[in-house]
Amino acid sequence: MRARRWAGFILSILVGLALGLAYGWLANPQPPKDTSLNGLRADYRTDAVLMVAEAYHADSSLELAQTRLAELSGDPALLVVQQAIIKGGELGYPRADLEKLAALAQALEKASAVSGETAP
Amino acid sequence: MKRRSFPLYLITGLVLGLALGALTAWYVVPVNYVDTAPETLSAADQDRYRVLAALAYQDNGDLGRARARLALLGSTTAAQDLAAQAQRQMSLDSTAQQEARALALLASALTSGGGSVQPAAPAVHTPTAKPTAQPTTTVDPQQTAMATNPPPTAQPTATTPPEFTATPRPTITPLPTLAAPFRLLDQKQVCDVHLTPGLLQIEVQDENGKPLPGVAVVVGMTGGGEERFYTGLYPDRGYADFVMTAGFTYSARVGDNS
Repeated sequence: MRARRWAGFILSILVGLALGLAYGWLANPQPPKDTSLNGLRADYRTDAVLMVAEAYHADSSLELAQTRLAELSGDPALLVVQQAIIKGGELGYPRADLEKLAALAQALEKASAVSGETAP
Repeated sequence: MKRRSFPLYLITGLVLGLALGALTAWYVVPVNYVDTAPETLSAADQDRYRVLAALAYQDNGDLGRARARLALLGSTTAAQDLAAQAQRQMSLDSTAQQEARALALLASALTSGGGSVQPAAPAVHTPTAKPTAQPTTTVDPQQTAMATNPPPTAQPTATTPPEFTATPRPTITPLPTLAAPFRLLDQKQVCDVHLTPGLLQIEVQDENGKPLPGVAVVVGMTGGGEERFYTGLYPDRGYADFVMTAGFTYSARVGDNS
């Protein structure tokens, strides 16, 4: 009788745990906070990449642009910018903005080509 | 007839499990969000986002766009946030200081609600001119004169080839542009119990009395050592302060090249 009670008690805890997890994850999850830049939705990330391209347009510092792009995504910088160009086109970005993105992509491409040439 | 009640231990177990499950789902293994909006960013990433918005504004001069971008952070005090961040970044490395200037510029534009700034021209890298002495060829008329000996005959004689002297031309070494000089307008001691003892408060203004943010202030103390900081935008534009320690003598200079 005692063993049966214990088994019932543990089983009820497990059922409660499952219900609690379902409640906390599905029914009433914690609101998003303290997220990172690389978790941004694609359209927000595209705008952030455009900001990097605009900053690059102003200061011409490819190194800084690469650092900033690395903060936005774990993917290679060139890929991030190329994705932004595609997404920007889909979202109807003005031509001037797309050109800034393209200029950054070209600079990154050139830099990677140069580093590829110098690599042993 | 005996009525059987629902066993309490099962309810206790269920409640315990529920609480444990909910706490685990909220705090131990919370939902990992993807495809988030900027307003949910951590404080550090919001700072990075603001820097990007400010740098982009420096390029495109589009205040409306900058305002829209900052609005995505969900703050109602965007200008103050920018100014406070600019203040924090002023004491960091040179890149952070450049970013701080961009932040301050955007904060200022938002505060004044002014129109757009002129977009900065794309930086063009020009090779740095080295201060080299350019040898210039000057011809000395005396040395180019023909040999003084008159030719004994009518035959043409060999002439001394003219010697070229290389005269180094003075070149102008570019000096850093000096900041506009500042002068002390007023100095007063303030007795206020709410202020930190030994607080040196500095207010920098331009010639029209308009507060100037982003101006370097260097405070030196007896026995060496100096501290450089900048006037900011918050709580007041053109304001900076420094806490002095009793028993030391301090001197303050204002301006980038002071």
